Formats: sequence, structure tokens, C-alpha cells
Amino acid sequence: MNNITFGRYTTENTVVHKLDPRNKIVLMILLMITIFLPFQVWSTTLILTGLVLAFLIVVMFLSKVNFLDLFRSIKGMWFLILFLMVIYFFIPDKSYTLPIPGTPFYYDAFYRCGYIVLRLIMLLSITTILTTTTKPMDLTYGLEFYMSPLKVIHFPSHEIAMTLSIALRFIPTLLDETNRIIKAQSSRGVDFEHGGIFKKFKAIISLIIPLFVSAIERSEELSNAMEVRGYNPKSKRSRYRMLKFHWCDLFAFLIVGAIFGGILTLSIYDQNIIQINIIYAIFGKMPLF
Amino acid sequence: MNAIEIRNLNFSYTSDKKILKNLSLDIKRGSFVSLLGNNGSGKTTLTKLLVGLLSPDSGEISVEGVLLEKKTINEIRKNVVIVFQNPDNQFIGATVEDDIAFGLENRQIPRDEMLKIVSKYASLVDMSDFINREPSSLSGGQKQRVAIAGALALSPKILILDESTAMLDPKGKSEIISLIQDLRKNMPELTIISITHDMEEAALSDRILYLKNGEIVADDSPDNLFLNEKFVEENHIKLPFIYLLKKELNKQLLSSSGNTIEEVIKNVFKN
Ligand SMILES: Nc1ncnc2c1ncn2[C@@H]1O[C@H](COP(=O)(O)OP(=O)(O)OP(=O)(O)O)[C@@H](O)[C@H]1O
Ligand SMILES: [Mg+2]
Repeated sequence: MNNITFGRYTTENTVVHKLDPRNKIVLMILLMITIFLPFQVWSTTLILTGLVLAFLIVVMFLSKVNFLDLFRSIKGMWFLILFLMVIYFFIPDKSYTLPIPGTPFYYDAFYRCGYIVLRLIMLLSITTILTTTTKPMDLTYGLEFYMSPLKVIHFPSHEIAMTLSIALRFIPTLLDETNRIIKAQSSRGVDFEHGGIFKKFKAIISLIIPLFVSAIERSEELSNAMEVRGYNPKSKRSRYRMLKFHWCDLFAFLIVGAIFGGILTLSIYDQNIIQINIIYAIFGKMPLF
Repeated sequence: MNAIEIRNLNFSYTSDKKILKNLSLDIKRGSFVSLLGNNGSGKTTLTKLLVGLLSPDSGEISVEGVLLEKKTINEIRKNVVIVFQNPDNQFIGATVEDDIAFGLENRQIPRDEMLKIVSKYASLVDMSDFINREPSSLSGGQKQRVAIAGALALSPKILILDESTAMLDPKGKSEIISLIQDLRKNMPELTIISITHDMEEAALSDRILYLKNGEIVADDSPDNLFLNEKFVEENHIKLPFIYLLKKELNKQLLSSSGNTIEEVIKNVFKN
């Protein structure tokens, strides 16, 4: 359980690591919207999403994301791909792709399935870039920043950020604890690996209860420690961590902004004025399928 | 001047069992006091009372001349800090520097000042090279040193260590002990109260308090306490090595024959 490395923060020193978390959160949202912008012609959609994917791959190289980990988590999606394939093969949307010659099937299955998988991979890549290049704590600071205007309506944005950061801080500690309890209970004869659902459930209970007890004890001690060091959620605090907007933040914002803006414009144009067909524009004829 | 004055303190969690019975106690400023006692004797309870985490049934507590009341709790907490037993459960920040800064943030110290204080205390506890580390990549001893740095960064007048070495391995333990020794040399004004089950540690203090059934049954220097055979016997105290040695030497000295220094030494070390 300790080897969950996928998506974990890496201590590298790349440009992407240096970006302001507040900026990264916005850029992430922009990119996510971008890959869901609709186009009428599917080949256009595919080409534009491909462009965004190429951009993401470059960014992943820049931020030294472990591609192996990414592939591994994509590999886990094979069942979903198979499932979609079967569904789309038998319930094709006949309106916009041609049938596969000599079969009752349509190319549409490949297209729609591929597109969904592509989008999932891209979503995964975007979040992976964010989490491997941003410390969880900086992410919370970023979120707190965006939540802080809500303070006006007495929304406890600081408390939420503090709670989140402490929860993040305690994840490794509680994982260690979980492993310890599993070992302790196994040595008492609890079997976590074999047996039916009912037996497994019983085994899990013998893990959860001690884990809860210890977590509550910890929280009690933690709150004492915080109180002794003068923490009061209601009073003002100064800040040790400062988020800084660098020139490279502006640069990144311009690039992502251009991608987002460009594709958004095209999409609006495509939906409202005239449908865009890149393949047709370049080759002067419709694609093969 | 006394750092802590306790008068007729009574406390119980539940009505059927008194944890502290009419306890009175003065602790001199700048002294290093060890508080001993069996599990459940009320040592932690006493420290919680001192900083107002619990409130007494009756009695008075003054810290640095300020009477502990509801409205003075914050003032008192500025003077007293506690380092607890479990290094994991008091590491609040995401990294070493964040954790040392936690208390400073609460006091609204400006950022540039905080940076200076954090690096000063990180180097004081010899953690400068680990300033960016997360707690999960630190040893127990290192985490505990960070906790001490975070406590000292608040420039307290009283430092309470509640079994701060109990969960550490021998190396971590001796690191903390030598850190305490350094503190005593470099901050003579700082009052240190150390709760411990480790007699070697207690032997280094100026004064030992022994808590039993809610009362202080012994209050003496390590020399007097550890060489008091009746008390040691009664409370099953495991003598520190140095006192075993002293006791043994004493016995040998008294029973050895000879009238000149040379003769005595020769006889003592013969067997
Ligand atoms: N929150 C609580 N509610 C009820 N009883 C408590 C509570 N905390 C402690 N006690 C009881 O009070 C007594 C004193 O506890 P305390 O933690 O002060 O002992 P201690 O001297 O610090 O022991 P140790 O050496 O194990 O740390 C114990 O009998 C304990 O069971
Ligand atoms: Mg205790």
C-alpha cells in the first residue's frame, strides 16, 4: 500500500514545478474545458484534440512526469475500452460515419471509443502534471486563494484549507499505521487475502476499528499541540509560505490561453457559422471513412 | 523568582478518582527539573493544567508571575511550550520549515522575521539540511528535534518535555539529551521541565520530583534521591549507571582498609 507512486509529487526543479499553483489550477481547468469543446466534423475534433495531446506530451516531458506510471494506469482502462467497443459496435450512430465494407459495423465505433479514451488519457495527463509538479500543500494554498473571497459570506475557507493540509500531511502516517495494523492483525490470525466477501468484510472491520481509534487519539494530541503553539482558527495569522507569480507564469498562461482561446473560437465558429472540416480544407476531399 | 508556582491544586477527570491531590509546588526560573512517576500518576495531566488545556477543580497556578485564568491563558501560553511524546502527532506543517513556522504564524510574526527565526532554530537543532523535508522522510529523533525547534522559536520562558524521548531509539534519545544540555548552557534563563521514565536522563537534572497517587512524594536533587536506598527500593527505581557506580564505590571505600589515599585506592581497585 506504500507504493502508490502514481501522481505523487516529485522533487524536481523544472519550469512546471516552479509555476505558481494558483496559475496551474486555472491552466488545468482551461485545458480540461478545451478537450471537451465540441465540433461538428469528427475528424476536426480528432485533429484538434491531437494537437492538445501533443502539447500535453511536451509539458509532461518538461515536467519529467514518469511516463511508465502513466502507461500503467492507462493499461488499467482496457476493460472500459472493450466495453465501449462492444456497445458502439452494436449501437452505432449511423449519421456521420460510413459502414465498414462487408460488415454490418460502422467506423463510428472506433471513432467514438477512441475519442472517449483519448479524452480520459488527457484528463489523466493533466491531473498528473498538476499533482507531480505541485506540492499538495501548495495546492491547498492555491485553493484557499480562490476560496478566500467567499469569506465575505462567512465561508470558512481558511479552516477548510487548514483541515485539508493536515489531512494531506497525515496520509503517509495513516498509511504506515494501516500497514502496521494489517501486520498485527495478520499475526493474530486475521486473513486479509483469502475467503469470501463476508470473511473479507470481517477482516476489514478488524482493520478499520483500530485505525479509527488511533486516528481519533492522534487528532486529540494534534489539537493539543496546535493549541499549545497558539493556534486559534478565529484569529488572524501571518503567512510563512508565499505564492509568487513569476514571468514564466505569464508565459505559461499566454500559451495555454492561446490554445484555449483558439480552439474555443473555432468551436463557436463551427457550431454557429459554418462547419470546419480540416481534412477537406487541406486535401479537397472527404476522408476515406 | 519562581517560574511556576502551584498552590493546593486539585484535579480529577471523573468524580470517583482524584488525579492530583492538593498539590503545591514551586519551580525556580532557569532550573532543569525532572518529573518522574509511574504510568497514570498524573504527570501529563499536570502539564495540561499548566497551560490551561485542562482547568483545575480547585487551587491556583501562576506562571512567570501571572495567575492562570480564562483571560490570561493566551498570555501564559506565550511563556510555556510543551513538546509531547509522539513525534508524529505534533508535526503540523508540511515540511520542517513550515512546522517550525507554525507557531510564529499564529503570533502574526511578519514573514521576513519568520524566515530568520526559522533558519536560526533549524540550525540550533541541527536540522538545517533537512529544512524542505516532509515528516514521512524523517526519523523519530529528527521529528522530535523539529518539534523542539518549533517550540523554542516561540522564545518561551518554560519548556516542558513530556516523555519526548520515550518513542525514540537510543541514538535519537541521546541526540535530544545532548540538545537539552546545550540549551541549558546557552539559555540559562530557560526553565526546563522534563517528564521521563529514563533515569539516566533524570540524573542530569537539578531537581527531581516524584509523583505518586496524585502527590509529590519526593523532591530532591538526583544525588540525594538516587542514593536514598529506601526510596529507590520502594519505588523500584532502576538506578542510572553513574549512581550504581557511586554506590558501589561508596561501599568499597567504606569497607576498604588502609589509612593513606594510596592504600585505599589500591584496595578498592584490587577486587
Ligand atoms: N481524558 C481523560 N479522561 C479520563 N481519564 C483520564 C484522561 N486522561 C488521563 N486520564 C487518567 O488520568 C490518570 C493520569 O493520566 P496521565 O496521562 O496524566 O498520566 P501520566 O503520568 O502522564 O502517565 P504516563 O506515564 O503513562 O504518560 C490516568 O489514570 C488516566 O487513566
Ligand atoms: Mg503522560
